[in-house]
Amino acid sequence: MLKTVQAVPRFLLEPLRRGLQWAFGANDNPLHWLGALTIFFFWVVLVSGIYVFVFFETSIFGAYQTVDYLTHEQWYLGGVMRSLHRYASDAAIITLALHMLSEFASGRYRGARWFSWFTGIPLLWMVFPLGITGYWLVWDQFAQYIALATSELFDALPIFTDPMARNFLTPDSLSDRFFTLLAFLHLLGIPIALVFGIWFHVMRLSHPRVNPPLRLAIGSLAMLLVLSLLRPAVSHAPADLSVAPHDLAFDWFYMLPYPLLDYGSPLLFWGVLVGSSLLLSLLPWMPPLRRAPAAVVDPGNCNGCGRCVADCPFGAVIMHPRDDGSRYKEIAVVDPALCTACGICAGACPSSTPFRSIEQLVSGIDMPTLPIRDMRSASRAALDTVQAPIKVLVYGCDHAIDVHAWAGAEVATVSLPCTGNLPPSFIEFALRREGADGVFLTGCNTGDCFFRQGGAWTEARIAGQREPHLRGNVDAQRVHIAWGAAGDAARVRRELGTFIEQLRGLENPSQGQTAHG
Amino acid sequence: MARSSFNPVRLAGQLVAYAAFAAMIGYFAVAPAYSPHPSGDAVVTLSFAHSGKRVTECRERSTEELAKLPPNMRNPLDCSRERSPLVVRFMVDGEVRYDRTLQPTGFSSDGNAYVYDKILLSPGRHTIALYLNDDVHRPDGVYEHSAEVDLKPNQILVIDFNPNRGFVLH
Repeated sequence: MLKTVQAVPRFLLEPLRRGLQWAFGANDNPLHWLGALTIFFFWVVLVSGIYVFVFFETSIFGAYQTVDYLTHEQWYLGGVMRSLHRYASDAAIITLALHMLSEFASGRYRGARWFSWFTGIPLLWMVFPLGITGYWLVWDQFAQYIALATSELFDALPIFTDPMARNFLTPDSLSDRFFTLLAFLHLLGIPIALVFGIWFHVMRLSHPRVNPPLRLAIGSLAMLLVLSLLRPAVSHAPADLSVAPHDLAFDWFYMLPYPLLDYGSPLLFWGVLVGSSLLLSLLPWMPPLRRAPAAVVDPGNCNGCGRCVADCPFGAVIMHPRDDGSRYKEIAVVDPALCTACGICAGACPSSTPFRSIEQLVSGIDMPTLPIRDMRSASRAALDTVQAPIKVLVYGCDHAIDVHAWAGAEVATVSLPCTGNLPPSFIEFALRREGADGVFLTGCNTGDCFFRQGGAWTEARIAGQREPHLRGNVDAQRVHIAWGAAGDAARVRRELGTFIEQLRGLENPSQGQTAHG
Repeated sequence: MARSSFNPVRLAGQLVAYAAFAAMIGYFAVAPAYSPHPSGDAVVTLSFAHSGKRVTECRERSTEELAKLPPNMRNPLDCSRERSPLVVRFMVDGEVRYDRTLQPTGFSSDGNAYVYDKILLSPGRHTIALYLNDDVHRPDGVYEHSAEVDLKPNQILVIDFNPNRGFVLH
């Protein structure tokens, strides 16, 4: 059931992802940076907001006038800053919504990853009030509507005895102090809560991506600037408590639920918002609840090098002092609650080498579902099925292209939980010991790894920039990496075909250029 | 692996993507226009806070009773705290548009009762009539007010209440 629901946004997002990948490339694809873009827009909102606040007067009459001054008298800077403030806030809602949709569609919110999803829901309850209080401060007719409607919403809850809405009925009932309170909430209270909320949201991630690539950041900022110049944000007419606001230029990004109040009731509004928030919060625990077993440390083979700790994308492995008489000072310890069973730790372990001749190959840290010895057996078995003059071993990823569909005359395939699960020594092993002519690696798109860092660590290991690295005596022409999502299968298969053609032109495996000098 | 070579066609694709994103922001930030109620209707806001009369009459304490009390609590009147509920009725052109009994707030029912409601009316002339009973011992009415109003499109008419001035129209 849930998988069917997930398939809908996946189906809708896929053409967008492919289009953006064509234009921006995989690394700068905005769909791979939605969370970071949302935070980036928040910084734009913060900086532009500070400028606007310098001129802003928190009073009934001063509020409208100072914003109007910025918009019209100082349009070249103050007006642009005001527009940036508004449009960056709106952009953040779009990227935030897409971020949630994308994570839901790809299933990256379940199991050990529940924490980031769960702590993301309260952020919604901070972002929307932040935007709504911002509109309120302008004190135009839109603000007048927001003031009364929001007050009616709170009055429906058993919080205040004296109805808050009575503060906005006549000019006599208005108070400058209320604006001071609002300004405090908008300028300090909610933003500070939001920063802490974002920190909670990413605190269980190693190397969290909170900044988009520079080109994407510059492009997004330029886009907002052009929009601000072409369509400057303006106020409605000043608030007039004797006239009912109507035909409002509504910001639907922030105000979407408000018609539930006007054409329904406050209880419908709260019911929909609280109900949908609860539903979203509980999504990680909805069936089917399948969870792969966590990584297991073998004390006899762990030398305490700490590479698994450095590579784990979810901070699930820590080093602990040893007290078992070993000559090594520390041992890796896995927290099963945080482990996503990606296997990147096993790929990082120096003992995960298939060349070892011990009776039973055991790694210092390994995956119960696909231990290193089984990975070696699977690689051997796959290559044994290929009898053609050219043999290519393809290592794929369970969360991207189904590489088994390519198994054939010249192609042997092994699919791993993540490409980061593959120790680089397996590439050398396949080429030197098992008779492969080439090794082809594919997995999730650049910047879109299901387990966050698998692709990046794999590239760095093969380029010799990260331990464990691919040894320099491996012919670089016999190793090829092509990232791609399931929807990119045709393109990656073509790359595999080209790679096989290149291999035909090569001589003895040991003669070529080495992988990294 | 990712390539980053300059490609004018792809750059044009990026510009189209940014333009589409900007167009989406620029449009939905202000449109389509929204009216919280059918455009043109006048809004009558009936809103006031009022404390009803006491449910039981105050009793005068005897000299003996006062002497038993601490000096700072020697109030000659012994009054119960509970207040009468408010019965509020609002009629427009003879038609009842609001008719509720509102309970006093507070654990001892000794606080204000609050009225807040919005009633939409078509613009033009209307006869409005208001009735408020705040005393359970006088069921035949305490405050009444009627008036002719000429409402403009989208006008807000606030009806407040003050025990000294009765119903007040803003």
